[in-house]
Amino acid sequence: MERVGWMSLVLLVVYVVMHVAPADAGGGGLLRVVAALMFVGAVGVFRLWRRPIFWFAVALLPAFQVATAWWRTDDHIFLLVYWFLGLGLALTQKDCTRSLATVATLLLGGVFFLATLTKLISPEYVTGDFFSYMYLVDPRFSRFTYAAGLADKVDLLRNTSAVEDLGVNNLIVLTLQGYQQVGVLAQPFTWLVVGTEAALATIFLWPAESKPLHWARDVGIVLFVLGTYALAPVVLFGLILSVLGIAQARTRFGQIACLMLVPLLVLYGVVLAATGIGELSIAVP
Amino acid sequence: MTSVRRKMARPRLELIPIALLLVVFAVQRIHIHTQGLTPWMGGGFSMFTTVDMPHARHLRLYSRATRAPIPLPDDIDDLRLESALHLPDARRLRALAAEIEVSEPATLEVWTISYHRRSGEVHAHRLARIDIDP
Repeated sequence: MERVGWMSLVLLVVYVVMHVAPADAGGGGLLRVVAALMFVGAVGVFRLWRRPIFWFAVALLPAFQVATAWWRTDDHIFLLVYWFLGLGLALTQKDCTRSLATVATLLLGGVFFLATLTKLISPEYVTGDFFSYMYLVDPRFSRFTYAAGLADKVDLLRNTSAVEDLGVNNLIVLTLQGYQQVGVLAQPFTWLVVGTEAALATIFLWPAESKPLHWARDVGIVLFVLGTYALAPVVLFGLILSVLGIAQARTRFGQIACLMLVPLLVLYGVVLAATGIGELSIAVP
Repeated sequence: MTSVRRKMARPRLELIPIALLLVVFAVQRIHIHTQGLTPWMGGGFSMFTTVDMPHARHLRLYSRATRAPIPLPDDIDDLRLESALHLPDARRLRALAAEIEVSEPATLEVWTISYHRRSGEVHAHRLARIDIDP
């Protein structure tokens, strides 16, 4: 419980630093100060984080962001609200460690279930159109298309700028360069992603408990965080999943591995911010 | 009997966030299908399912008489603009249209894209529109 409490405080600080910009809703600066005071209070006052009311107050920070502009709020900010709320509610229960593990397991299962479901009901996804587009236009993916020798660097750059200009030039249709070759990457990746998420949804929502299942959950979440956030560097999302991973872990491996993910992701976030690697793009030749 | 009463006295409150997750998902799906919300936002965990992502959306403003494009004003409120792009319902479009002054009858439209891998074609298509009068 202590570990989860401390790591959730880290989550709070990273959220405030990364997401509560002063420009946001006009009150970001104030929110930042309030959150910092909460953090200091939690550290200074003995075991404040053991009180449900503290986490309910913390949940209000991302909840405020969601309430003011839900239509432009990323999914992981919603997840942060659910987690802080769940943390507070679990502390009202007699066996709070067990309640916390239940919340974390069900949130992870629920998120992977929804991610799987929405992919399977999206015609663009199941036909492979989505990842074909990403491998031709989005620099996070097109660098692999280039590295695999499937498209020319100049063509990929043209694709990105052509799509950006679609609105400016009032065009209705344009053809992407290199579309014939990219299916080799896009098709297997389409099914690898949805297959992985479906497997994770299944193991986290599986009703019976067993040692192999606990191992599968712990290994699964660690591999998912490492694999996903190296490619799409959404550090806060990775951190939330890691903290949920710690809370649900029943094996020593899971607790330590998920715990190690937290400083690793924080460090990754700092490196990204300092070097701009998160803005990976193909250098103009 | 006592243990039953004890269990009854402590409802599983920690399940509330899971219920919220599902309710928000349902609300997001409704907004996607009825108001044109981008599936990448709004708490439904449907990022990476469609190319209809926020930055793929764009506005078109043109003269109703000649269909000639009219440049969007530079001083347009960013939040209103983003709001109309992400969720182009009638209320948000009206709010954005109110910020745009035109000298002739014009139409404001929100467009997005789709992609077809077999042809390699990116198609722009209209999501919503509103007429603006001088």
